[in-house]
Amino acid sequence: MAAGLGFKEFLTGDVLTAADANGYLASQVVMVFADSAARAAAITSPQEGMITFLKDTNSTEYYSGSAYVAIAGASGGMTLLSTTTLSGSSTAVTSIPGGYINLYCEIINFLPATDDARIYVRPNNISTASTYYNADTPTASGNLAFNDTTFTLSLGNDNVTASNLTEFTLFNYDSTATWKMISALSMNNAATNPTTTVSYRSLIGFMASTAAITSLTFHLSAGNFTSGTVLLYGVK
Amino acid sequence: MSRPSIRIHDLATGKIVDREMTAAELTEHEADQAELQAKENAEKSKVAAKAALLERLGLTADEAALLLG
Repeated sequence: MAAGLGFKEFLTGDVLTAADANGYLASQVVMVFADSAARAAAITSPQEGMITFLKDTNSTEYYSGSAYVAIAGASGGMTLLSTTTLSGSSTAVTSIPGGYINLYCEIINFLPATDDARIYVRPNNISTASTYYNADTPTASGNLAFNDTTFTLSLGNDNVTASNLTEFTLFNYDSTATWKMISALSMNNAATNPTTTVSYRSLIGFMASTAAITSLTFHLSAGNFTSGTVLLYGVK
Repeated sequence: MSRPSIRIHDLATGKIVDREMTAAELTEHEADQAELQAKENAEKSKVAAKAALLERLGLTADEAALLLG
């Protein structure tokens, strides 16, 4: 395999030689392989600067001259998966991809149509009784029986003023071996004196489900969403 | 009267669909909101009762925490 030759702008009528294909093209495209074994079999003499993507680990890597080094994906970082505007009586984000360690979510300026409504989230839209436990930190610890039907992310928010933020992390969300755990913080505009009073909630929650989480359904205790933005990130 | 709507954002296709609830979804939704509101009201009543008790005793929340701590 030829080493990378740099950049060349091909013009109409140019002949693409084997050397050009190897030096300008193959050395510089992102080559996709099932795994590192398939890559090793295909590229027997990798050149410094080559970039590959491994499907089994979702890892983008470059060849340093002596080894493949992760650029992103397996090495860590956050990937914005979706930006969704809250609407209706519930808003679901579905087909969430697996392959990350955690899901991190920010809900910005959620505004309910009904004064003092709270925002909740259900992974996989599971609403079965005794599936969840909401622990207001740090008061709860010990043996806690699942006793709820949803995760309670916030206290109530005013229905006119929204300068609020809720963020949560769902740990190990795509595991099929463990129950699920959430850590959430929420500051909301209190229904009374919403411009001068913060309504605060800190939550550690647990979910008695070992299914991989592929959807999140945001819902309210009353009425509809007027507005709000949900940013969902995959974290490695 | 139209049913409440729901929004579904499918990350596999990128499509966002807004549609009315089905009859079954509406039934579940109404029961769900009734249950959540009952829980919230019970929680608020407890907080109000606690505040009223402290006021009768002439204690602040911090003083009560100190007593119970």
